[in-house]
Amino acid sequence: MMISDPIASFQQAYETSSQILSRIHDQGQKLFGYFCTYTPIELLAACGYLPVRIMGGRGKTEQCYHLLPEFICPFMKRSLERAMNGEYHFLSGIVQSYSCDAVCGCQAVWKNNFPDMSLYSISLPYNSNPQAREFYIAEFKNLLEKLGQPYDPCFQEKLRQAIEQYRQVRQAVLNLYDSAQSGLLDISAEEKWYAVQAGFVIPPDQYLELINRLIQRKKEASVHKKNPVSVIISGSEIGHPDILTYIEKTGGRIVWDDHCTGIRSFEPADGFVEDPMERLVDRYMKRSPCASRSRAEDRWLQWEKKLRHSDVQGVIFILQKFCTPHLSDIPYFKEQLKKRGILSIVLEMDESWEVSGQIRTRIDGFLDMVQGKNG
Amino acid sequence: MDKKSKSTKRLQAAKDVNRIVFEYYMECSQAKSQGIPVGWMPPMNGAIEILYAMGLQPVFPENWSPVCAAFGLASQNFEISENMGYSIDLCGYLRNIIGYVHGPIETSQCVLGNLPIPDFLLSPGGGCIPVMKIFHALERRFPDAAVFRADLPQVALKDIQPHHIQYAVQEIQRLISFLEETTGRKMDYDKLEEAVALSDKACVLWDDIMSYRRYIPTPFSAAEIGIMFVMVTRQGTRIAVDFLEKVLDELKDRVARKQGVIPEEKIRLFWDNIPLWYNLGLFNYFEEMNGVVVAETYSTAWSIRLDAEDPIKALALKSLKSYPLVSCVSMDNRMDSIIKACKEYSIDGVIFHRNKSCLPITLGQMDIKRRLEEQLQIPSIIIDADHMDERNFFPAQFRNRADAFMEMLLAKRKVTS
Ligand code: SF4
Ligand code: SF4
Repeated sequence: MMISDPIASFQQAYETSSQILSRIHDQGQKLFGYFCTYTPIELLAACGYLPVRIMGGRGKTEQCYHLLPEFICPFMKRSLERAMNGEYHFLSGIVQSYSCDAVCGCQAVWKNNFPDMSLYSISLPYNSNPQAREFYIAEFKNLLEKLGQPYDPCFQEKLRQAIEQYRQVRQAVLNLYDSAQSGLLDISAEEKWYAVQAGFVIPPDQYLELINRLIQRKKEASVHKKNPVSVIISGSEIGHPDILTYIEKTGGRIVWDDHCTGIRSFEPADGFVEDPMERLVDRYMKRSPCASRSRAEDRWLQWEKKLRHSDVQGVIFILQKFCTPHLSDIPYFKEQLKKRGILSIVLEMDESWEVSGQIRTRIDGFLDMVQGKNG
Repeated sequence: MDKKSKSTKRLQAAKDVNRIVFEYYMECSQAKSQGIPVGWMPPMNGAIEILYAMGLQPVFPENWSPVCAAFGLASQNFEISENMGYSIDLCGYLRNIIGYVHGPIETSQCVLGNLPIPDFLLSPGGGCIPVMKIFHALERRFPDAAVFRADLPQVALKDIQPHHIQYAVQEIQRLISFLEETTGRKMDYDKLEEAVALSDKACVLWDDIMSYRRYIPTPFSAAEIGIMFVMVTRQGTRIAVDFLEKVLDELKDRVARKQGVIPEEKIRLFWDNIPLWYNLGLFNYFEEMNGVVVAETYSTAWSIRLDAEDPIKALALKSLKSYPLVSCVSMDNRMDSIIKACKEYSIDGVIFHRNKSCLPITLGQMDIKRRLEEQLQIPSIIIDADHMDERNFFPAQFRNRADAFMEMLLAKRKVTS
């Protein structure tokens, strides 16, 4: 059921995604899961599957310890916990695009424990030279072969349509961010978080309708308030928005995010080549870099552009505990930020995503310090 | 039980390993003064044969970390990298080498000298995240070094397709061009063929050596794992082949004389994951209870063949296979090879080192454990530790678990014999 307030719909869709997707599955729609946003969901959609992002979210971790060590990120622990609780029974399979060791190993664990699912891995190149581009195409076609899908003209047409649909989805999210940043849209970080997460689990046509309605409605009702301390947040998956709410409540204004549950997954919306497969590859090769696949320097280039165009006063790294890719980049980022006189703080979150007393104190102190420094 | 201890070695070859290690690191330190370009690279790929064939000096920062652990230098390196902001939750190899290059690289009094500053870096895409991030940090630390941005498909062995091989072949060719350009040295393809043939010979010998551990009593245990040094640093050279031939002769002799590691070998064990480099003496602990670690996961990384007739393809395949063989990239292979080893080596029990420093090898252990129990009725224990950082090893906890495990295995043995 769709609720008239888009934000409430997004929140409900996210929170009840298991039930909704179960129903969709019962109506005959096949679904395929993915962890990482480097996965070419357009290929899955063109094959007739509904791509669904597997999320960790907030919650308990008990059963997963029968299969995983304690020292792995909450995202992977929670995803497995949810699967072990039957919350992903509707998936025909999962595609893993090698993003980090945790995902790669967990995929293998899923494979051993959910024998009814088809689990495929794709290996994406790290370079961007012509050979890498060719390899990318070959690897995407290899995935189609595994899915039993010939790359014929009929499929190419479906791929074009899927690319167009997801281009619209990404563009809508980018528009949402733009409107929020320019002040046209009065939306809290929590609301924005739900709006983005829902897109990972709702069918794209329904999502587009809702998000466009949100942008429209908010334009009409816009009252822009300004918190005093402008910050960037950065990390991997944010499993619950309470932390964002707390930052805003304490005077932080989040002007940009570099999270894979934020804008990082959406830029750019599309590739710029005619042939559908090349267009798809073009987009994934040019997408915003993640710590799991890129040099910190390449990520920093993008940060520099943002820093040039906004008055960022502080950076809050919100990391999943034990997240090797992001933890490894922290010293470089801290150093660069220090050179620019920008203060930063690292928060490591566990699976409860609870904003504990200690985290609150650290955020309070940090924002006070930033405000003090910037007068 | 101490946090740190050295293992007792029985092979004569162990003395040769010390000499080979010393000579290798001396060669590294002297390379610069002899005008030999130095390249730092990750282990377990086909670049080592290329560097040796071109007369270049390969250096393996990952391999330097066990040296630091064994000589007690790791803790100061950890302190430096942790002060730089590297989290204690990151792999110990990463924290150690980053600390080392930002600290004692030019001043440490290690008996093996210090690593020479690199002229070029083979910076990997592919392999595990910590290795990739180590090299990104090295690029920053050594801005004058030329950087080759290597790329490699990450695929399970059974999924390797022609396009994966083609890409890996292109990468090897690109690497050769890079080295020719950077160092001004031309590749001599006869030498490359020779290096690949030697590498293949070393792999054959390696498998032969491992197969001798099937004998009861086993002629050597995991305490001698140091012989692996030649597979990491000397593949593609006569040094590795000559040494391994000697080891093999010694093993043949020991087997003929039925000379085991301990007077009475009652329990045969398998070790999964990287050993505790600062505490190889742990292997001797089992020996005190009449148990011997006769096989381990790590040694399978070199269980491959290289076709010297087509050296570039052989190196591409080696690069594609080595790391997946021991990690979660090719979990099915990892699982199958442990099951196979347990059968072939008559294993009574398996020790899973749940290694805080290495997620890629730790993930999947619980599934392997279950399969061992279900399929072969082989019991196992989990040891929580870390291959580099002794702060994550708790001797009392280890002793409790290991004592109970060994007692159970001994009781089981009594019942069945
Ligand atoms: S990138 Fe980090 S948070 Fe994401 S799956 Fe990997 S380890 Fe977990
Ligand atoms: S020990 Fe494991 S995580 Fe660390 S560098 Fe080696 S394979 Fe990677």
